[in-house]
Amino acid sequence: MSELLSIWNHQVILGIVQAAAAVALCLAVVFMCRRFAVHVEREAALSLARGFVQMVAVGVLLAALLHGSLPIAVCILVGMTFAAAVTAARRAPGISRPRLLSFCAIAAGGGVAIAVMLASGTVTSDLIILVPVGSMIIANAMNACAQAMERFRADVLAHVGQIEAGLSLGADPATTVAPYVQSAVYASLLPRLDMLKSLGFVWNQE
Amino acid sequence: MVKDLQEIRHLENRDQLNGSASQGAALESEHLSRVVGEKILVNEISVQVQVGEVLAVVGPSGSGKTSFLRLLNRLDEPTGGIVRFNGRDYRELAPPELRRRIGMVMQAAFLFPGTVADNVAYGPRQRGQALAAEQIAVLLQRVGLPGYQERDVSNLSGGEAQRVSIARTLANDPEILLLDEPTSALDEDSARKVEDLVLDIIRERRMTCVIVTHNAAQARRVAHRAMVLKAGKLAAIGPTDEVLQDV
Repeated sequence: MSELLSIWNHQVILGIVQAAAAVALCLAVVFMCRRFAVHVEREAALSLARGFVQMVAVGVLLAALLHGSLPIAVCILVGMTFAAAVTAARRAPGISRPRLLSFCAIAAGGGVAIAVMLASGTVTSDLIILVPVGSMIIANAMNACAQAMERFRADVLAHVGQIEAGLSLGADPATTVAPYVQSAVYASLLPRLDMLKSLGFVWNQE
Repeated sequence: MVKDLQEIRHLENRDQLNGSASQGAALESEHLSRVVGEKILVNEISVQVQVGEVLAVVGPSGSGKTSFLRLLNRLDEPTGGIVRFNGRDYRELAPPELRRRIGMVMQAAFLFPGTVADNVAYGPRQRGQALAAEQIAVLLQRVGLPGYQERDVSNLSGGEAQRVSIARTLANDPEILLLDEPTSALDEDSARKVEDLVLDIIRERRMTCVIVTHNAAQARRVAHRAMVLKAGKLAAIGPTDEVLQDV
């Protein structure tokens, strides 16, 4: 118990120091802006206050959770996946059940990647490793999902006539939208493929 | 002289079609409705189209003509009422099969990227059938585009594109043809040629046809009967000349 409290205190203090360092940097930017008559004081103050509260809250939460077991890590990743699905679904108005669709897509993509990394020993099942790595994978899956849905929606809206012409000729709905699914998936994968190509030379965390 | 001959031929077409217009309802709507949000697009329309009959749907813009037509091949789903195809509830048929048998030519051609032959073969390909090169050639010959098989659709004129669209629909061998203002996007000359083509095909195949048009003269030329829509409701239906005498 005393060990846990010690870790807790250490993590909280570390978090506060890191937050203070970030605040100091932001204040420096505000002063620089002010010098050039760019007035961002109010917005900067609000953003700083909000960021500080969020950072402390998340720091406290992680300090408490990062010493938990694998089931807790899984729960955190599922929660992240749900939040990512809600965010991605905002890009797809008009598509039926976008949250469920996004959740399944992100969970399938991110889940498989995390499972393979765990199984191959690329990451350990330690919560302190699994959660940060998993969150990065989920964030990338969320971006790919959102881009794909946005592109698909735009393509369908731009090609309603051809889609309806295909339906009128007896094609099933999946066939009529297949070209747009393909282009949406391709477009969403391109940035990831570019990242892969430049791996080791350029670090591009989206 | 040419115009007179065309008029005589149109009258002959109509007489021939009139003779076959009492064999039974090929298509029948009963209290057919479609409501989207609070807007009533089609309001309780009941109408029968006899085998071999050409029915014109006329009315002002926004009166529900196209909305009504789209319900007939389930491109849109009715929110009320029923459609019978050859006496059977059309929901008993899978939508792709229904749409193959009730072909539709739209206002714009909406051709798929690729060659003319690709477009003509599209419908049969959906059923796993490959249309033979000779069959494609015959269809293109029929719509007045001989030798157009390998042309890219991006190089076609509006009239040519609409002819390809008609050939593409005919490749499915439909029993009923729905035409949604098929000439309204064309210049006068092309429009008249496409209209003549459609008339010839209907006559040859003795097809049942529902044509949406805002052009009363066109309705008189092609249809046995006309129905007038106003604000989604059926305002009048009867022999074309009677219904459209004041239009």
